[in-house]
Amino acid sequence: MNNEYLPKKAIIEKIIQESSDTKTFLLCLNHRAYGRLKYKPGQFLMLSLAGFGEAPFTFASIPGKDGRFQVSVRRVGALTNALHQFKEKDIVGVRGPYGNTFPLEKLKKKDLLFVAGGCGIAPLRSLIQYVFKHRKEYGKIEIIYGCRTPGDRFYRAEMESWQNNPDTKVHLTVDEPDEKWGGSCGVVCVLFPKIKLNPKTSFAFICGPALMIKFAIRDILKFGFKEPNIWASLERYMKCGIGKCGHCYLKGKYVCLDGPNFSYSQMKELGIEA
Amino acid sequence: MQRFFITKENLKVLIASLKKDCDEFIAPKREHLDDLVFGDAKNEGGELLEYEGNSVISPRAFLLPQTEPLFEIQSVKNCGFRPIEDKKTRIFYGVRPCDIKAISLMKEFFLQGIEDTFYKQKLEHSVFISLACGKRCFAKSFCNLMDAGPVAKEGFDLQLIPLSRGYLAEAGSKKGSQIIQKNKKLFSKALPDDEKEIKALLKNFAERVKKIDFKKLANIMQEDKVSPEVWDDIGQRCVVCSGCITLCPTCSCFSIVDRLDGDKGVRLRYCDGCPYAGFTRMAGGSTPFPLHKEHIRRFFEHKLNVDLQRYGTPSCVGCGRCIQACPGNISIKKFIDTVILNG
Amino acid sequence: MKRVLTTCPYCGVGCGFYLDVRDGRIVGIIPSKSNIVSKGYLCVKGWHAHEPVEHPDRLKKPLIKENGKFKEASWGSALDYVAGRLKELKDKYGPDALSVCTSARCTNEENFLMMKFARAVLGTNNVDHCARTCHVPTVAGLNQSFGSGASTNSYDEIPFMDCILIIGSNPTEAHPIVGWRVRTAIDNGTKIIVCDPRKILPAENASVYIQHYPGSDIALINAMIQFIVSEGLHDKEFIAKRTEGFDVFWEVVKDYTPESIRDTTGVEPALIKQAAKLYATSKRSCIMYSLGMTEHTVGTDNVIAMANLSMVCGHVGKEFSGLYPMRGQNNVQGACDMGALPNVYSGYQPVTDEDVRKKFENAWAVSLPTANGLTLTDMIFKAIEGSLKCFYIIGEDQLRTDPNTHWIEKALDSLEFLVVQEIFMSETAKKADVVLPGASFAEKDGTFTCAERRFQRVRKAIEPIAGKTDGQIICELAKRLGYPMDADPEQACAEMASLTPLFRGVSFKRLEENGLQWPVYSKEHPGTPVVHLEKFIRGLGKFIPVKHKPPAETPDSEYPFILTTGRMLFHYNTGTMTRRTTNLLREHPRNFVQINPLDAQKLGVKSEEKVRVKTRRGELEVWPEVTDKIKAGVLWMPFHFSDQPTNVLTNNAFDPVCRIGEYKACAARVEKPSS
Repeated sequence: MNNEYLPKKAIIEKIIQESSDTKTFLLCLNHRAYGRLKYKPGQFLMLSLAGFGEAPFTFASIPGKDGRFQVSVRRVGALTNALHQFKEKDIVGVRGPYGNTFPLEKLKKKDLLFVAGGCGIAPLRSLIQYVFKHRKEYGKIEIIYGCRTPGDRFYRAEMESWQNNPDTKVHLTVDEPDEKWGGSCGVVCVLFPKIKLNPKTSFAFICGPALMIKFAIRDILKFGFKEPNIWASLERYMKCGIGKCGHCYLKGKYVCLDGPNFSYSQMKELGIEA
Repeated sequence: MQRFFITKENLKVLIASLKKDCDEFIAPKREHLDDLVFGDAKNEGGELLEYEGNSVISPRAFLLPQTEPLFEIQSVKNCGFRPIEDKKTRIFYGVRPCDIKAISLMKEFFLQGIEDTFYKQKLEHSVFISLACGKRCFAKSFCNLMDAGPVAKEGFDLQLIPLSRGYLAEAGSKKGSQIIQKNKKLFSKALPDDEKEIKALLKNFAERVKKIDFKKLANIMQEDKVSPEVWDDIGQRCVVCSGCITLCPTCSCFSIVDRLDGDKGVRLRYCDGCPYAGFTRMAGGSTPFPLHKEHIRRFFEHKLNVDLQRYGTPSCVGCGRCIQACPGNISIKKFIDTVILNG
Repeated sequence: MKRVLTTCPYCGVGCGFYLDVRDGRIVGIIPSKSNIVSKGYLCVKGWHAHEPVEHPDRLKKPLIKENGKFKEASWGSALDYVAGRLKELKDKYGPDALSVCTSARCTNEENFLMMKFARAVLGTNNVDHCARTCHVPTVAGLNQSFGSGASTNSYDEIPFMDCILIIGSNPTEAHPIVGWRVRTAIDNGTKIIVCDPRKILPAENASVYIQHYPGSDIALINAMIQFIVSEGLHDKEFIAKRTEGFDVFWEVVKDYTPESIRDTTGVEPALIKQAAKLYATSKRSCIMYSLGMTEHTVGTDNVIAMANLSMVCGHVGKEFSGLYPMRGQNNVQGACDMGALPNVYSGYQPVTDEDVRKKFENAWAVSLPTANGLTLTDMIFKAIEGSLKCFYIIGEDQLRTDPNTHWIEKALDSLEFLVVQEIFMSETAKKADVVLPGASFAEKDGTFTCAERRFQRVRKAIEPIAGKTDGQIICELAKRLGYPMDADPEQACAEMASLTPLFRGVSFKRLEENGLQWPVYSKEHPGTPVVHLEKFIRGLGKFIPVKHKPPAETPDSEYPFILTTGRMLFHYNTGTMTRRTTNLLREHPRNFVQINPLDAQKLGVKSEEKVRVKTRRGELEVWPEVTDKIKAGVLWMPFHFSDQPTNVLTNNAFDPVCRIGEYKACAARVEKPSS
């Protein structure tokens, strides 16, 4: 019997230290046993450590060779602490992919704005990589990324390369700058005046702490973006990923099934107001 | 649907023969003083053919137990899991119509979309024999108002309705028809008088009640028109005992936890749900529902509003178990009455 | 597959439930509707009581320490070793260098066996248990006033009271199924008076809420009595017929006007008068109290003050009245009843009474020690002094439960031999020379006695995980020390009953259904729901004047706060069980300190930054919970978190009579960790 709860084995091929408390893991599913993992930007997986349970993580990259994928993990609880002790070649369990993706077809030819706070950059990265892979199909791209300190920035080298894409701008800001920091300071919203996209037709994608999402949506709305064009990735506690355990249940919807990516119009129906 | 008749004596014979066909015969039993609890009667005996009231905990305990091992963890290092399968065949006897309705709702929930293997496996190996209620089981139950009693409409394999001279029997599925077919000798045709007696029983149940307008109730909740004092009061009463979600026959929420002893262990799932603040709190400590009253509101809204939209019927079956177990004296029935009255 | 009816192992309420056992594993809890105590209700701890039982952390093998490290040993060699060392120390230093701490978590029968082991086998009256840190003042205080140190009435009267005075007790969180009865009383229209430095849940619905300072209880109660008498609201007939000593008592109390104690208590006189009037004039009034009253250097006096108040109004010695001391542990009532105390045998029969002693000597065929033994508190003093050499601790974690952790640590380090019998590796067990793995409630037969004096059965659902019950361990040691004892619980219960007039009618057979409330004087006696009905057990109720004394440590400029501690809903004592229950730990994973917003503002304390709480004995860094539920100038902390143990802060000052520690009031300061 096909058992959806049974984790599949994946090997850790590479570990990258992103910041003091976050590591990115490059994982490869044993594709001979299970086939290639196929997933779309914005979806997530359940990562299992035997003895520590399971937790959801959004794919932080587009699928690589043989379905290789990345997850970025911040150390916040028992499971993530344990995972941080893992070494390359160690084995973890994964199941998925779960959840929805973004309206990829509708985005074609449109300008795109990405707003990420802290580790919220990880879920957006799969979409950003996807868009860059098919760069010609999309309009202008602006990426706003805010962190607590300059040392907390993820994917630093890759972000530099994003800048080099045509019609692309990356704006950075930190809450607590150090002496070397020459960029902006403050929350992500301080960077909004720099945006040069057409708000009427552009799409915005937001991910970060709940409060940041709230304030970002509020400002982006003021800027003239349309509600159905503003998307946010919601974070919820979840245990199953398949709409059964009930943790992520929200007014008749399950974040794991109907989300985790919602447009602001959908969010309002779920009772989340900016 | 064709209805049959079976005498008490023949029912005993039927049960004896059914016991041979299963690994566990789950039937109501009296434990200690008066407590009614479902247990295995194949190996232990002691089943009640007929009983008043309802079991303390619903038969849900056998399909979604309070704790249930899912996987054997064979190795931490190698991330080795082996599913623990429950292939026991079970016949559930004497399940009340409210619990039968609950099981149909749970079935729909667990089998829709991506199937829950563990639940499905147990369900497929189960036969449900419903025993309709001759009387209201206790003052706090209201199954008749929730479209869940005193007689089950669907969801059973076989239903028995108590009559003065024995039981009316009806099959609700292929499994049920097969039971009647196989034991044809024990059944006879139902008489017009039997049907009359049942009509009288239903009438008797319907007489004292005013139907609940489920749509109106759901709309009031949907539009957030329940007076804030009602939620405040409920929030203050709940002491997070978790009795309601453990006893509720339609509560399906769970958590998964690993229990490790050295390099080996077990991955368990256990009953979890709305009342806990920790149920929705995320690893970093932030929570989308900081107020306690919001937790119970989520519970009530799911049962009375969302599931009405989803299944066309509320998923509160009126068994009254949550009311009976609540140390804060919260009553979903009283809540419904208050909301309807003020709405 | 079976369902085993048993009694909850957590608080002293004594709820009944079935353990749902399938394939030898306990998979869940089914409440018992027919249980007279819980009636199908349970709290969150009860609903999860099965979880710690089969936790992988359970100790499964005896451990003997060699060169500072524990090594697993067989039962045979561990018991031989312990028996050998006990004998050696007894021969070398005499029996009074040995002591036994029994467990309020164990059954009555086991406690009886343990106290017999201490007295008949080791030959010492140095036997005590954790009631020393909770309700010993109740035993001492109510015994002086009424002649019996336990609850006077039964739970089922609570919902029908007209007025409930709740003082130093938080029934909703600490005794939830009594909390349910309080809730029902409120729904029935009962008037509630809450006196507590914390605005606990019943205070939200209270007619009068008095937020007094910790340690000012006698002043408060005496002022209530003063007002009642001076307004003529007292029950003159009751005082005349049923009590003695009123005049002498009044001479002391008459000066405690509500106005005069305003500064001591921090309470407006009008509120005290309102409360006093409500309590006195309601027809059915009772007092519910708990450790907020007992855990003080004036613990015994606090209890006496409440007894005085109840007698002044005639609210005792009848149905729907009385005092409800809410006992903390599942069987702390029973452990006291069984004589796990240094001065009494079972049923509170004094060890110094020659007739009593003779009775036990004849029954046990040994000569017994004649003088009172050491209290738990004094054992600690004597260990540090050096005269106590050996400590045999069963199911208690002194290093986390007793006040001033550093002081206890010193005592344990001073011992020559420490044996700890435990189900999990506790902090105290880590200090032991030998750790013997005990059995949980689900692995044994026996009885617990709950706070309404009710004996209830505990039944075995699974075999002992480590192989032996605590009773069996004790009996095997006794055998090795040359005194065979029978571990069979039913046998032990029969022996106890035969030697104890108060419990003479108790037997397993009679407890099958809903237990029995003591006194049960004979096989035919139906039990006693309400005590002191026609007359008090001591004859006349005795008024004993008590005066306000401040706590041993009061706030000053250096330590300006009063720190008080308590229990919370999701955890139980040192948390060895509740912190091993997934959902309970998830609900409250860490220690914290409650601080009033006014104080927080003054100190610049924010909820997102840890603070350091400091007393003269220690310090802890914890998260603050800024809430107006706590009185300004007072701090509150739970004591459940072994990794952040609150008792490094509390004061090892003790009640002179019963030697309880002052957990509920000491001076403290709050600092930001950076400063």
